[in-house]
Amino acid sequence: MMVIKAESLVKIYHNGVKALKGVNFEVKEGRIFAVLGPNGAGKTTLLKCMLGMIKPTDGSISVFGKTPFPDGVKNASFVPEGKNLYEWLKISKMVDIFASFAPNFSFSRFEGMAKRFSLKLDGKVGELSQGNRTKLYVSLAFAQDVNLYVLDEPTWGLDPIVRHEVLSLVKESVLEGKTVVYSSHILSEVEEVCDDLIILKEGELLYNGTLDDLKEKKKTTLSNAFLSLVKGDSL
Amino acid sequence: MKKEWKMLQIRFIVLLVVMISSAVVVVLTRNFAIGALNSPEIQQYIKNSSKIASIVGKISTNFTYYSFSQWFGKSYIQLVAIFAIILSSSSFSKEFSKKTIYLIASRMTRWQVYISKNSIGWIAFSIIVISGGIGYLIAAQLAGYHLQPSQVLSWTFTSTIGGLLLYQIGMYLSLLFKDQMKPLVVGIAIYIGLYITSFVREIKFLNVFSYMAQDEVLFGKGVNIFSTFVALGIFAVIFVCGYFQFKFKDL
Amino acid sequence: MCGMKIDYHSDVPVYKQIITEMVDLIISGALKEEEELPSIRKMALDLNVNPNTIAKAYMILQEKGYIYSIAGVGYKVAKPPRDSMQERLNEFEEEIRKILKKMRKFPISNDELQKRLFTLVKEVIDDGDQG
Repeated sequence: MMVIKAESLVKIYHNGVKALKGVNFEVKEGRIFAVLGPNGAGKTTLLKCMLGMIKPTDGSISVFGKTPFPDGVKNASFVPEGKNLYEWLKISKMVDIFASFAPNFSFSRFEGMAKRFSLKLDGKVGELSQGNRTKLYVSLAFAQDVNLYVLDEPTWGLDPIVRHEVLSLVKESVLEGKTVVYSSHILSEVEEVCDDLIILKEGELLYNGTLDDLKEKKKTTLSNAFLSLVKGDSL
Repeated sequence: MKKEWKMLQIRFIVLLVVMISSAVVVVLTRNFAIGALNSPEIQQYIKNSSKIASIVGKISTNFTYYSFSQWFGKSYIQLVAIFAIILSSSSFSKEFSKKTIYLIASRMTRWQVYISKNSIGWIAFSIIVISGGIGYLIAAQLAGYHLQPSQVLSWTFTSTIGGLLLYQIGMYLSLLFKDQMKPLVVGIAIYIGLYITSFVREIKFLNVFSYMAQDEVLFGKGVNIFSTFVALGIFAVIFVCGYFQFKFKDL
Repeated sequence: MCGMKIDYHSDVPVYKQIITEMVDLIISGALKEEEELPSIRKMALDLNVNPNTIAKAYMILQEKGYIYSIAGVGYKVAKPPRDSMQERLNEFEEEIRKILKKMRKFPISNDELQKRLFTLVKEVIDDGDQG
């Protein structure tokens, strides 16, 4: 089954920046789908389109068969690039408040996550280090029992141990039948978790397929394949 | 909803305290103010102008007149206007500038985000405004002054309606900017603009402040119904425009 | 099964690495016919690999006849297909051939090369007999 389908998706911002220039792809159910690309490739823009945060200029995108803009996707949970929460709130209060508006939030799932990440719930959100803030954000997002997780750089600022936990969490979500969209600029992470991937550069798709196919066609590692694609070689 | 209340909580309490204590101070300083007005220096100064002399006379002898000139027609309106912008200006702009908008907008519909921010704001703001009017009345009664409750309620009512209109303007401005200072500055500029309209006969009706501090009430008339509907109408238009502004906004 | 080493960052896809490892375990008899295989879930958690990758490896192993599935029970090891050992031996020989060609380019005599190779073979056989 298809979870996301993008057809000739175009996004031009008000300031004239062409972030996406006609992108086509599909995300299948139960797969880990990576979005790769150098900085400014349009990764974050694409993720925002998936969640209805921004309106496509042209073309279309549908998630669970519906247009995400402007009301978002109830059955999805988003970890954006900036892991910003309400800094003035106590962490425990932040969890309660998040639970009050996040669809399908489960406290028992949250406790599981918090334990797994050895997350401490004392003090204020604003007192957390960057890494702990990311942990809290990821824990909150995964505490929602939804069918799609959209993660923009979910390991930002994390130490190798927690990073490993997050990657395991992503892999395990497949066992629950969940679909994950994962954007990162750390190729080694993506290589470890993803089934399918797209590589974007300046708003255009350079590759759209499985990781295995890419390695088999290029007969090389992901990072070499990525570099040669971004430099302009064809498959 | 819970979050919107949390976001306003501290500001709400501070503004409520400022509002009520200002009302009490105006009641308590009446004797001091009259003493000052009746001082020989002031009397000497005003004796050439019969108009001013009659106003000073009214303020000294008539508590209702004093209440209007010092509170319901002056400080109260100023506080309501300032509080409207303080409570509303950061409502959306703070979510944009701190990028917390992604946390909420990806989990609620745009309508849910918009209505929860607005409704909690209206309630908190109205409580502050109403307690300024009622608080003044209670303080005056306790201090032994006589005030007609119907007059106080009329002023409180028009100030609440007018205040909500100003609040809605602030909410709209808050949608337009990604930093928190700009809505505040533009809001104050709009106030100045609205105030200036009172000097031009043709656009005088735009002066919401004179609606809030209706002097007709002083002469025993009730609330101006037509103006109330106009104010509510403009309030509704701004509310709806704000919703569409937010609904189709790129976050 | 736990000794399986996965290199995510190799140019060989992870599912292929798993297939190769399991084929070798089956041909060598370390995994015996009729033996039950870990579920996809358990395998994914043990190896810390995306479950879809395990599923893909199992599917291909099944197509090639190394394993078979019983609905509701899971996967079991099948009798190694005919020629499967020969195929793997050919692949190994190809690897050895490549290395020998490299050694041959060094200034050593043919006798020396042969002697070294025989010593290695003998060493491995003796080790195996002791173990």
